[in-house]
Amino acid sequence: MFLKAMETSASGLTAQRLRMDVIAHNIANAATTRTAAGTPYRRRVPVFAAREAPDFGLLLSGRLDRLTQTGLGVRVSAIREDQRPFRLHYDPAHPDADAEGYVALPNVDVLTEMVDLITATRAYEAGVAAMEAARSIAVRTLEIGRG
Amino acid sequence: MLRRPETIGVLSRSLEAASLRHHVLAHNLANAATPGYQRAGVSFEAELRQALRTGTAVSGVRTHPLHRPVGGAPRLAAVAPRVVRDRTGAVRGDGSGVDIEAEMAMLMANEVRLGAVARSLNDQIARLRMAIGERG
Repeated sequence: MFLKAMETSASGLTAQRLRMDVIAHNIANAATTRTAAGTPYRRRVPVFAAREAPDFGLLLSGRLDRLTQTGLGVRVSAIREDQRPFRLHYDPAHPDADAEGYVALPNVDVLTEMVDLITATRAYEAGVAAMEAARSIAVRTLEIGRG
Repeated sequence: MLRRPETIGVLSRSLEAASLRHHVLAHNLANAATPGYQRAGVSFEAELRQALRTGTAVSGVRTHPLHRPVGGAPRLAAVAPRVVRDRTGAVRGDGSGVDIEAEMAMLMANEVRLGAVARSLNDQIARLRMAIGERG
């Protein structure tokens, strides 16, 4: 039971961690005008989905009815590209400038990324606290009846 | 006044409810950034209170299995923690219905409640031990 709760929290930590990696990647590429595809870098967004399918262990323990409702955390279902248009910046000296002197810059807004980073950090901290709470209640439950 | 085995039964049910609630809250927190996710909760305490209130001192005798029970001890065995989806919760701008602060507060309260239940269970068991004569 507590191990499942810890797994649930761990899935949240993994997801937030991945989100932070994606944000770091976006910020690092905020000025990348040419990728392997030849276009400027497109902002990436992780898509989260609740993990609610039953697993085999629960099927075996026969507690499917209740625990599938509980849910088993979160998973990253996809990393999508933000399809919003690129920002145009006038800079005729830039090697990637078009005939009119405009450079297409990635659709990454560093400010938005920073706000997302703070949200992800807070969610990560909440997950860590939930995990610590799971450990402390597990320990207290194990102490029942030991005198 | 409940008989001792019943007290222990109710306490262990409460323990079960608290651990289930912890799992549900951890799931909510894990989905704090999932679009369209609606938080879940556990209902137990209100139902237990209701069951305890319905118990009476006088009970009717049943001479046939189809007779409806009249009065008697509260039917505590039927009270079990249930997971309930919160469909009324406000949805934030990013489409998730989870409020991290509120979930954390519930998580902490649940931890304290579990501690209290664990302590009463310990006390009950200690009294049983004393009655058995394990301790002077």
